[in-house]
Amino acid sequence: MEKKFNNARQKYENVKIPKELDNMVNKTIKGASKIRNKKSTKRKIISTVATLVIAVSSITIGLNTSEVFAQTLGEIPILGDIAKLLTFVEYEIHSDAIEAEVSIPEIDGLGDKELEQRINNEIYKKMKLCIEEAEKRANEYKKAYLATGGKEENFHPMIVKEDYELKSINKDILSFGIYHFEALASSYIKTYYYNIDINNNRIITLEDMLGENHIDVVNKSIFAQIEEARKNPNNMFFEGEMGFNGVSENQKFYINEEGNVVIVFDKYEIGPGVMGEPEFVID
Amino acid sequence: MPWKKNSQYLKLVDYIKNNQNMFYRLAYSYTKNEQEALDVVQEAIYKALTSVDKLKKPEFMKTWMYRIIVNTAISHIRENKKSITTNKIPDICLEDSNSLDISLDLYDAIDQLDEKQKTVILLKYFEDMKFKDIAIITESNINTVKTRLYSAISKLKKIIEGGAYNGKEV
Repeated sequence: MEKKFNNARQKYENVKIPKELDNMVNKTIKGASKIRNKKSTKRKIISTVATLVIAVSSITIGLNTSEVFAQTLGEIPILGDIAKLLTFVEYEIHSDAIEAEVSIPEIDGLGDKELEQRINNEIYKKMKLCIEEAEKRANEYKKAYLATGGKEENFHPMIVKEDYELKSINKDILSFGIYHFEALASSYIKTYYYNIDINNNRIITLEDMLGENHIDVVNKSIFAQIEEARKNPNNMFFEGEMGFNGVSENQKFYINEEGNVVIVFDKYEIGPGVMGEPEFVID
Repeated sequence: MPWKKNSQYLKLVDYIKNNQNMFYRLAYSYTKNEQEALDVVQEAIYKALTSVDKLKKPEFMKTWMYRIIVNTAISHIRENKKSITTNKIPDICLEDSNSLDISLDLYDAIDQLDEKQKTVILLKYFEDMKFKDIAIITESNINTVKTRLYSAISKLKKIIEGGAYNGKEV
């Protein structure tokens, strides 16, 4: 038996370590450190209502005041010629069920104020709703955890981060995404993108970018890229019905610095979770 | 004393970086699937990093970290039970066909133990842990750990000697 254990142990120790491990560990540490740094500097700041460049600040009131949250005026203008993406409101929630960090952006400087307002409202509502639902889920989860015999000290609060990411900006186009990241039993992320034609004040469609045959163009390109990626055994796109079967008219995309369309899929949509949100640049 | 808290955090970061392969192996021995083992490790280190301030005694960092990994792995396989059973079949067949090494039997037989027995075997024989530490990790007392280990060993013996390691339950 002894010898068998030693042999089995050798097998255990010889388990192949995937190359992604190192990268994944570093990324996770980076992500956690970010949250930690913000937390320790802002934890004690008592809320102040953000006053803003434009007169939409009134909707910042009404945040859940039952939690300790810190709200700071974050105004990080990102320079474009006219249009800008700013942090509209930033706050944190710390409770024993959830640790959240929220940073809601707004666009400013569009010629069409109505469009600007509409997009800003939509972003605000979307992000606010997501965080409220996450909070509800976290509380329910905690209740269930304790009810099923889990111990308070072993409970890990849900970690949530909502933020935005500028993809590209120039005098013609503003492209950015807003995302909701959640980690509890497993991590989950959802991103929405906005691509705005600044000169004509309209949302850019795939057709605007790629012409009448845009669906075909995108599908061909993605099928080819998946085919290519399959040559690498670490890429494990789902196959068949579960996998990529063509994009739809409202496929998520953004426009990168080079002006190319980048198609983005949800986590788990066409591949396993470890692949994150797969992206395909369409040349 | 924020600096003290911070030094503990940095210690944990170091500890994670230096032991990531070990975490992966432990996670893998539960999931038997590369992607899922990566998911488990990620989730576990994330949990650890975001709750390190709850760790009161730094000397328990190792057992604390192992506990998070073991618990994360177990809850992960419970959630994904179905997919794991189906993934496991080709593994066994492959090993079965290309080797006569008896150790394969034991390594695979461990998968047939229940979660608690399996954890004790892994920690004791593959991670060289003391009974005391295993008790902390599994939140039980030393005697329970010992009893569990002996019953796990006798079950493993039965599985191997009965040649039934390919079967469902013994």
